[in-house]
Amino acid sequence: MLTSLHYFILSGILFTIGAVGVLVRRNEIVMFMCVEMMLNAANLSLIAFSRYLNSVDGQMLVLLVMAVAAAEVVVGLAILVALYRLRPTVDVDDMNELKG
Amino acid sequence: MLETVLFACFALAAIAGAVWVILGKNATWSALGLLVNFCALGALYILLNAPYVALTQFIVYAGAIVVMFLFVVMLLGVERGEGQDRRYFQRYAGIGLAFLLFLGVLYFGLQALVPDAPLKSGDTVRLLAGTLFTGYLLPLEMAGVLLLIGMIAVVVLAKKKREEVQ
Repeated sequence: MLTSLHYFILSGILFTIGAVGVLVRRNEIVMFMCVEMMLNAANLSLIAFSRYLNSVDGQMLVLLVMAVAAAEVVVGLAILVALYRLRPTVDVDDMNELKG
Repeated sequence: MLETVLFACFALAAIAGAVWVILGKNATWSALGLLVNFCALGALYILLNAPYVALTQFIVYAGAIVVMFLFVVMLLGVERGEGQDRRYFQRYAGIGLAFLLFLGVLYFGLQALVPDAPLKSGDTVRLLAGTLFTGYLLPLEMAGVLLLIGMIAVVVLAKKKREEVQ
């Protein structure tokens, strides 16, 4: 029997894989993709809880999260392009100018 | 029974896509893994009786966001892989910390959840539309304003300075 517990565990696994990607990869675009995956994992648990509680509030939250995520991706990628123009690298280890 | 089989298939696809993202040799492969992950999650939303959110997932995430990632990857010309990792302990520390995070998420999540409650079903699109335009009208309008601000911010960020153009 499929319960919301399964969806919840899947959401935790996806969130963890996203966190591993952010911590391990050094390519800034891939790190950004992993942040998106973590957002999606949180969305999955919101939808699962929405069905579990028989209410559409969770789905509403997911729609708003999608709008915020779209704006975030657009601004983030624009920052990456501007940063690349300033200094042609995508390795976050090379961006250490603020270290003093 | 069918639902369980479908859940298993799409859950495996989502996990495989996520692993593909973090193991991808270059950013283009990672973007394709991201596409698999988003599509599998959209299918799971349909299983969870949220068809409108599933459609939005396919259009916004699998359509727009993945295309935007691919566009930036192509624009920056970064098909080559990243350099050698300079600090080897980072990788193992990252995996260990993420595993601790997983245990923490499960621990606090399971406290909030009553296990083995069967999932309910019903028509949600009609209910969602009603809620969207009554109780959640202000957040909806604010989301629209946020998207407008995002567009303006992109134009400002991506614009070359005047002296660079000349």
